Amino acid sequence: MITKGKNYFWLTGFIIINMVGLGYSFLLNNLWPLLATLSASFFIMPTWWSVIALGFAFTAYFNSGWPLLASLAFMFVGKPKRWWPIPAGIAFAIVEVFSFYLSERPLGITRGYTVMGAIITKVISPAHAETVSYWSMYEPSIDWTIALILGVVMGSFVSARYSGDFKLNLMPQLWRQSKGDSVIKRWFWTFVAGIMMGFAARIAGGCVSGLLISGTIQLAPSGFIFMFSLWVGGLVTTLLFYRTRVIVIKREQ
Amino acid sequence: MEEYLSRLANTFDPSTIQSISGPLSLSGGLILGLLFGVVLQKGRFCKYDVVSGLFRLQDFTMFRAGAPIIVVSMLGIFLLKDMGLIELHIPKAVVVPQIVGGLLFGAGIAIMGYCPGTAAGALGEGSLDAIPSILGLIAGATLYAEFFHDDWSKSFLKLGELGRSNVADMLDISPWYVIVLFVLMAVMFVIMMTMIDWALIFLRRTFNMFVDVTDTIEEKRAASYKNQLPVETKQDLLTKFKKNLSDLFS
Repeated sequence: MITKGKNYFWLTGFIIINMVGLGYSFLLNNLWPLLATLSASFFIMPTWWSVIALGFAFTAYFNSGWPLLASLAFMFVGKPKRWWPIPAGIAFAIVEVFSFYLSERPLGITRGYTVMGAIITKVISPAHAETVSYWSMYEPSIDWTIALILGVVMGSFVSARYSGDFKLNLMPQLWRQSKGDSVIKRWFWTFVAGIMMGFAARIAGGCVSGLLISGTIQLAPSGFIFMFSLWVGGLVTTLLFYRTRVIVIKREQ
Repeated sequence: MEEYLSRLANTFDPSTIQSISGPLSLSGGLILGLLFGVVLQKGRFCKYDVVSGLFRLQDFTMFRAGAPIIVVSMLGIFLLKDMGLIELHIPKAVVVPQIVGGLLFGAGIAIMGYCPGTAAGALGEGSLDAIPSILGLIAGATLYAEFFHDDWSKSFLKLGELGRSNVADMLDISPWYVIVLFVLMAVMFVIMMTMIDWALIFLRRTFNMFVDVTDTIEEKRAASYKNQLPVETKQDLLTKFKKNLSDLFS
């Protein structure tokens, strides 16, 4: 691993940061400064031994063996850039069932965005938020779904950084091929599509994870209805929207 | 500014961090979110190319992953339900709004290329165009709550209401009959989709199909002129075949 001169620079930074964290940990007689610096140094240097170090630190902090076990598993499983679709699907299914067991509710993401809207409304004007009847169903308080969204962002970042798949980009390559180079156009269309999706999810009562997957796995008719109408809507829109240049897809090699 | 911050702090309830289990626990949500994010990133669900390729009928990764998702979690859920470990949380079925919402949602996915969950995953992966999409999702939900919910909650959202019962309850049979049927269908579906996908990869690699349809002739000519190289590099058939095989099975 450490063969180039460039890596020595980061390694020195890693050690210095963690020494500072260790010092503060002794000073405050608490483990969280070391935990914070270890997490920060994982983002700087995502290697297998920093994953293990994080696992040990979290195990010591929470006084439970699960973080170490998870980091050991992630060390091996997280290294490839992609999983083959069927193992990935099975892993998804395990997470879904685990959500039923642990949190006693299906995985659902869009509810979190709705609650974020409620929180924003309440922060800007609490008097107005009282008058909207919908916010009495979706109470403006930071809840499970917002933590879930935060976790998805963090988990995806960690996974992408560890496997070297992390790349900042303004627009996807395939969009560039089929719709041109304009970044403003892409961002405008994603915003419009986001409004459409947020609105549609509120009409239907859920999104892909909250209604389609969580509905079909419980054999609910709503999931099947949503699945087929989503498929039809997506196909028709693709035909109309990308009409001029539909054909191409370039996979990652 | 401090007023806003204090209002934001009021929305946070510290007692929700303590326990891991339960529908209100923040820590449980964070743990599940971490696992979910890793799975989404590794399965390549939060890539525009994959989701958009599904609707362009050229990349069936989502189908190949989606059928195992539904089948395995269906089996797991009903097994654990029969063991008494979990309860079902069936979403309410309302036919007309769900058809309309599905059509609109599909249109959104086709344009944006992310679903709400994978938009968060794409943000973690470094795709910055997930930021406007997340803002749009929040804006859409707020728009609905502010202007439409009061008018529609009595009329439009009640059209074709079926209640909170699943297909097995409606037909009054054991859910396992439906599950076995579904598993058989899904296995056949996965085999078919995998064959189509592999055939597409094979054709694309071996005969250079589908690759440069959008490049106009002028662009191609300019590229070849710039690099001073022929457009195609010659490979003998055996190495091409080996490359295909390793791509398929690795």
